[in-house]
Amino acid sequence: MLLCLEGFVLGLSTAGYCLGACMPFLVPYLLAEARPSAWANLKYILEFLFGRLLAYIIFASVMSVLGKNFQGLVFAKVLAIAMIISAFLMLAFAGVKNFPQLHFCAKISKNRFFIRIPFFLGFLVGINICPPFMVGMIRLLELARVVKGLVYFLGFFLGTALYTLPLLSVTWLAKIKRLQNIGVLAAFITGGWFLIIGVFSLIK
Amino acid sequence: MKRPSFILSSFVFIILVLPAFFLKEKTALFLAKLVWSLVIAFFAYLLFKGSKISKLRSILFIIIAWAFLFQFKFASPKTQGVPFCHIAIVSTFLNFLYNQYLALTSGRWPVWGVLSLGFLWLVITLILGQAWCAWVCFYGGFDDGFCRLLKRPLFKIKLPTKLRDFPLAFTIFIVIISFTAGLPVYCLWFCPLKATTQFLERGDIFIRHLQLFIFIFVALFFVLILPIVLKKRTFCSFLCPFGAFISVFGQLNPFRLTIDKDKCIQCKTCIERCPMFAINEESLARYQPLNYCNRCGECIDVCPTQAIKFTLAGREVRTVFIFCCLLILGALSNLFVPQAFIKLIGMLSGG
Repeated sequence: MLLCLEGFVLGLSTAGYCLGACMPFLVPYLLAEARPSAWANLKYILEFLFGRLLAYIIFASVMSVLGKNFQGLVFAKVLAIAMIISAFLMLAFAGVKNFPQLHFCAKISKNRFFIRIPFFLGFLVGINICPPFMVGMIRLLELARVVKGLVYFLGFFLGTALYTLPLLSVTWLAKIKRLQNIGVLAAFITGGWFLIIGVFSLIK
Repeated sequence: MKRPSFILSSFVFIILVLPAFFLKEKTALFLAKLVWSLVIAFFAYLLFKGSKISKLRSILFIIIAWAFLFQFKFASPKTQGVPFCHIAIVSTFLNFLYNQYLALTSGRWPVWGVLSLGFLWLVITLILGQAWCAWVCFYGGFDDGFCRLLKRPLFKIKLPTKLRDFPLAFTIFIVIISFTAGLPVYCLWFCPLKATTQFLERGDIFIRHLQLFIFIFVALFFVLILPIVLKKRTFCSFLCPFGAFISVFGQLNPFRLTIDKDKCIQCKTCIERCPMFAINEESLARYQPLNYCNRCGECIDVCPTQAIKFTLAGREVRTVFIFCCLLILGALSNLFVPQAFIKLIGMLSGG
């Protein structure tokens, strides 16, 4: 319980950064896909958060097992690859939304995978660029126990998740059609930016 | 209605020159401020008296931009290194908010000064709205100047409506990414003014070169080449976060550019001549410019039927609007244009 609380407090205190890591992906997506119903938008956010939680759990487990044998270089490569994939996802999302008249895009937009993009983005961001996650990881290396690691990261997840709720305010903007176009353009820019950063990180 | 041009321009002069009398020493700076206030008052007289707006406005606007660059370029390296202007405030808005939160919780009250300045920009935005970008901004004069070099554009482009919102998307991206990185990403990677001064990244030499390449590319392509060949203010139209910010929040400002339905003959001259891509066929069909209109007055000058006007609550307010613009232009430019004149004269005379 104490470990969960420790993770929760870490999540609360560092969520500003955490939100910063999630926002570049979540905000353009929400702008482009915003619905007039708060529940529909909450579903997007929850999917994203669930993806992130899953990433935390998997990584917490893997890293706890690795413990002190954790190889920083391999981890850095995984981060870079995750960033590149998330960038491609954003670009694909923006492309499909921007050219809905194309047969290929129309087909993809109904694909199950495409509909679940928030989940995949959440998963990739969860293992990706989040500085508080790195802080949690250091603590995790000290713990070096799978169950303890899971409990700790569950608390951390809850602490950071609270800060994403203000993004629901996008519901009031959903009626503005231009915002959807702006969201798609922002997704293009975000995808391009993270693709470049990811490739550079991989090369380095 | 007859415009009392002389009285109004004298009033502009008195207001602008007044602070100079509070200088401790009546030296060259006092004289320079006096001269600059006189110059603005003279332009005010011409603007109040004549019918053309944009050309006269742009002369002042261009002088301000080059004077700012000159003053900034020869300022101390410490001043040059600080990423601090209205564009930086917008592009790092979340960082500023976060800093204010830190200042509040730590009790370091002086840090609040930054937000106070942001508040000042907001007040000016509410008074001028988008007109900031055509009358006061100390960067806008560069591409405004270059887009006036040729009489006709070498290429004519029809911008897809969807792409006109690019600056808003870019600004959202920059604001978020600056918050994520905890750095002024726009200043570090996209600001063309940095091509003339130092920039912040001091680590990796490859990154420094890449930054320098981007600064020079943006400066050459968006501030120099595209404005010349297209006769459009491409940097202000597409890459300026403040322009995007003001296009949204400037809507709170009561001044409007109105197209008279009865007089407009849909000749599309305004579409062709608007330097900001702020009137397109769809918006003209609705007799409304887009929210990117920065009230430069170019369309008013070229409209063959005088169908376009500056209005406030439906009434034409050309004189009041120009008066407001000139006062803020004068008050801000008086902070650096006189100093730039003194420096320039000093350099030319070998001082």
